[in-house]
Amino acid sequence: MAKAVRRYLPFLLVALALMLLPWLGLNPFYTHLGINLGIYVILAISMDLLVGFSGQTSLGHAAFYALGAYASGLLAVRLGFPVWLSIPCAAVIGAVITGLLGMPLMRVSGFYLAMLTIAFDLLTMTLIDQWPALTGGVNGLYNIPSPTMGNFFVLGARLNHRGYYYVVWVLAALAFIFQRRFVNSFMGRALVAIEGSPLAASAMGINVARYRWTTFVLSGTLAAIAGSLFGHNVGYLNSAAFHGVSNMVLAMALVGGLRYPAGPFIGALIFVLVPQWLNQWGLGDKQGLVYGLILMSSLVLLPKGLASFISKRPQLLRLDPADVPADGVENLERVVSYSHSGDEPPVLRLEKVSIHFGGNVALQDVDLEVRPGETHALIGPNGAGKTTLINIISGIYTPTSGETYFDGERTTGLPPHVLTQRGMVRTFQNLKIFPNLTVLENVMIGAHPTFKHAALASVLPLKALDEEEREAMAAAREVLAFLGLSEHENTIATELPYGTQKMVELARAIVAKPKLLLLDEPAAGLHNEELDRFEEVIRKLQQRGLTILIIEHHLDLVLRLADRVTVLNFGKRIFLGSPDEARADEQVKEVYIGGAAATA
Amino acid sequence: MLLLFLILGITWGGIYALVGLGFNTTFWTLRILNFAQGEYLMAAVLLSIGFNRWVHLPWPLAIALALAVTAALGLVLERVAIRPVLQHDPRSHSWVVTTLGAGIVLQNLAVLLFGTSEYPFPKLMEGIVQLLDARVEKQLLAVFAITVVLVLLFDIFVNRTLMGKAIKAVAFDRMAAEAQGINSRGIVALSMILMALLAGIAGLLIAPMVSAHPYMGTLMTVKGFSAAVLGGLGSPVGAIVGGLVVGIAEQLVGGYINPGLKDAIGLIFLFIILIARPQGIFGKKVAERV
Amino acid sequence: MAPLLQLEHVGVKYGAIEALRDVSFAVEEGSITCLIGANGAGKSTTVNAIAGLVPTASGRILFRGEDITKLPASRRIAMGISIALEGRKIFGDQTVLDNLMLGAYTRSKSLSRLRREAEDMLARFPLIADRGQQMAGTLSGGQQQALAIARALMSRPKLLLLDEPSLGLAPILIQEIYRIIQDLADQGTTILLVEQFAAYAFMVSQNACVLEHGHLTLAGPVDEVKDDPRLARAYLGK
Repeated sequence: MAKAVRRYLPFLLVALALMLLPWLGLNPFYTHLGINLGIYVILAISMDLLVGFSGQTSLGHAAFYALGAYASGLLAVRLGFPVWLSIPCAAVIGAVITGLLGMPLMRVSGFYLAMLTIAFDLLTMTLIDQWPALTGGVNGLYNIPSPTMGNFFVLGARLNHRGYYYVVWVLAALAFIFQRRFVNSFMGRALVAIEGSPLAASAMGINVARYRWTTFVLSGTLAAIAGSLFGHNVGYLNSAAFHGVSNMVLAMALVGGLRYPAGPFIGALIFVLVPQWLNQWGLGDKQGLVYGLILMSSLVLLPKGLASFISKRPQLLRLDPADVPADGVENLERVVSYSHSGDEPPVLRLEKVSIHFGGNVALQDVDLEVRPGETHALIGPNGAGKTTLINIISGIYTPTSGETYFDGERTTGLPPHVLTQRGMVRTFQNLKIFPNLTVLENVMIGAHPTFKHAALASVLPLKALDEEEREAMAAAREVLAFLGLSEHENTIATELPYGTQKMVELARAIVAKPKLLLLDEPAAGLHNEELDRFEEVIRKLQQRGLTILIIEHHLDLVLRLADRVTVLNFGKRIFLGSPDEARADEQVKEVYIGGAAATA
Repeated sequence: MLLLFLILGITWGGIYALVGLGFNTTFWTLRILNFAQGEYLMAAVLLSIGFNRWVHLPWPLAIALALAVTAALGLVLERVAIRPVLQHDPRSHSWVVTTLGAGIVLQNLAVLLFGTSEYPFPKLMEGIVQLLDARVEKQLLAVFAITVVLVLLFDIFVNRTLMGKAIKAVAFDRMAAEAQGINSRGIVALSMILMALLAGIAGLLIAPMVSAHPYMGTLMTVKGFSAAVLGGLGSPVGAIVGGLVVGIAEQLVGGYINPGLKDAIGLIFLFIILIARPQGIFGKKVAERV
Repeated sequence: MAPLLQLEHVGVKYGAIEALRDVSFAVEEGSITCLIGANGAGKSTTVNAIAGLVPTASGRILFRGEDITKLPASRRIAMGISIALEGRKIFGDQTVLDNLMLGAYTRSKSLSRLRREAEDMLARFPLIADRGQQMAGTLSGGQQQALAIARALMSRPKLLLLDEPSLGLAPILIQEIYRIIQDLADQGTTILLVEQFAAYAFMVSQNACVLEHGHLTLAGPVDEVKDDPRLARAYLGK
């Protein structure tokens, strides 16, 4: 508790200042400004969640804002709902609509999503204008209970602006706390991972589509809440009120700084103050121009936003690492330790696996078997089909024919995140370290399958969640210590040298407690000392009984490490045996140094 | 009446296709979508008016100069809003925001220079022609003819000139194109100029029919985008088909159902296609590389 | 006579990764030199650097005695260097003839002239001779490889860089492709040939350079390199 207070001290001070604002005897105008600020903060938080954390760009957020405003307004005006009911109902309606909209949306990514949100925004505005019976159309919706009109009652008490100010800020504070708790958890890390590489996130056991949807719904709901507060503030709504709001919300989040706790507040502050300043300096009509310039330049000049000047991005951790010590290699037992009796079935078995891409037969009738505790090397020249085979094993491709068996169960066609949850963990040839996450956060993603709670549960102070975080963090810290990477825990992973990043990816895979570790060219790009270090690490893992399937082109290295070798050429298996047998085999030598047809 | 709707539909559809083709050219070479597209449409029109009214240039010269300036603005956009973003991180989607911002800046500059009122734009031809049971303005037929010619010219340029083949090459595989000695930077610049000209000419074609003001581009951006996405990004044929579908559907819905829904039809199509088949009618899916 | 191509202490980096370190060798005019080594050794990086498609971090590249290290790819191609990229990289959405015409982009902008030259070139490659109007993306692997080489020849290069022409091809097609390469050699084209499969390369080359982890570890006439024990080690290790 004391820790939390220290961490958030600046925010508590700001909160105190905000609480006192209406009583400082200033012009009531400042209270109005404060109300707008509070509403914008909620909007900015909703945008930060969506764009900053799950990497989905919404260019039509005004739609959800407007939906919330009209929902609450209509419930109050047409059905006489009291505001303490109409606002929550607006939130629910916002959640339902974004939930429905979100479902097909989650299959669409990147700029398609952005365009879809624009389309939805414009359709919503058209709907508002073209359905006067419901919305009052272009003439607008009047008489929404508001402090201005003096008809805003909460539980019998009439609220003036000062009272409304507190209502807005209580909700803003709740939104802030909600966001903080939501992202300082396995959810936050998973979302940033998805933004970095949806493929790798999926390979780590993260259900990308579901998490994206959840974030989308949360974001839309918060925007709807902000909208309902807006509606009650002004007492009158029509579509013109939402002109340019979508762009403004996005600009707020970006300028403030994505993924920083202070980001939404700073962004909202700028966009409340800037119009005031522009008015003061007689430039009120240049507001749009200023927005445009901010949008044009902010991501180029200030890629991280204003909040980045104030502090480093705090880690997305539920617990303080200082409270979760890494006790050293001795305790590595807990994380990396496998025992095998002699007569277990193979961990991985491929039976006559074939795959075509169009007319091209990439693999034909390939058999492969990996025994518990063994290190099995998969080698072959470029274009032989090794990466295709690994992609089939890890669920990215489905074979055209043939079966895969993992741990005795048929797994043909299962998607990557399911396979990962069953214990098959892989690294990637094109290093897929998650950008925007520190080393510790990256490695903790490896433990994602161990977090068994639903996404929203991360908001609650549940002991069970604390325990899961503790376990994952301890495991991560121990593996990092084992690999000699402790000093880099707090560094953004992609800022480290290439060889170190490869080690981090390895750590991430180990933390997942894999039944089978799939290494796809782990030594690529490593030199000299790094290669020695890598070999040392693999030997230590072998001593602990880890089962490994490794593709490598550093043949000297991999033949030293492997128990058995499978050689592929032209999509077929041409050799299976020990490394010594491989070195002596004429066919294998030919594959690399010669070509049978050539010397004929 | 049906004939009139069809002619209007095809004409407007052709114009949406022009804007859609503009989207395609930048998508091809840069893999980005220019969210300021509509503002280039508006710029050519308002600049023409400006050159004519305040610099007292005769219309043909004013228009030519306006198009030249618009093309130059296209180059500026690439330099200022696109290249810095892609250089920083080729995967980044930040160009969505920067091109959006650029469009807003252009729009607001237009408001500052021209105010928000509407300006009339001269017609190419006056007079009405009787076709079967419809009375059609000659202007409309002229626009129709010009649109057809432009679309054909674009097709010829892309498919039958060396430059066009070079653009397709850069779009297909930039490194392979450079390996043939094609200067991809120059091709990118060319695509920006094409984008600006296509949008600008589209604007000049509609200006006599809708009158000119700084906000005239926004809706066209969406409709041109709908055309391009409906047909499939990366496919010029797609942009043309998409444009025609949107144009004709608009006229039919507006004429027979409800004029207020005319503008919404394009949006609805966009919505449906993005959900059901994001790659469009003629487009191809793109996946993350492992 | 000065060598046609000279690399002096060339180094290439991809971000933090050092792909090539201190690579120096020369290619004599009229000869075929092969660049061999295990996958990932840096062979493609070397030819891409020579063609100007990737920047060099250190060292110099000399072509006909001129320092081309800082020149862009388009200039180098105009000067007489041509490359057939790894994986063929033909333009799948254009016809065979279009691909060929683009190969001569730096030499001429006249479509009619380019078309004539493309048709002449096509006749020299039986694999694709009657497929001028076919979409290049629908060609088979061997046909695409022939097209890639033909396209690279369109610029009338003094130095032809071939990157793994045998990649992904069935043995019988590899034979056909190497027959083409041999013909080119007989006609006096200078070739730098990148290959994973050393034996194929040795068939047609006079000289060999062996790359290991971005570093040149063995170089010399093919007859000597072929029997050197260090060759096997470069691929299979100790």
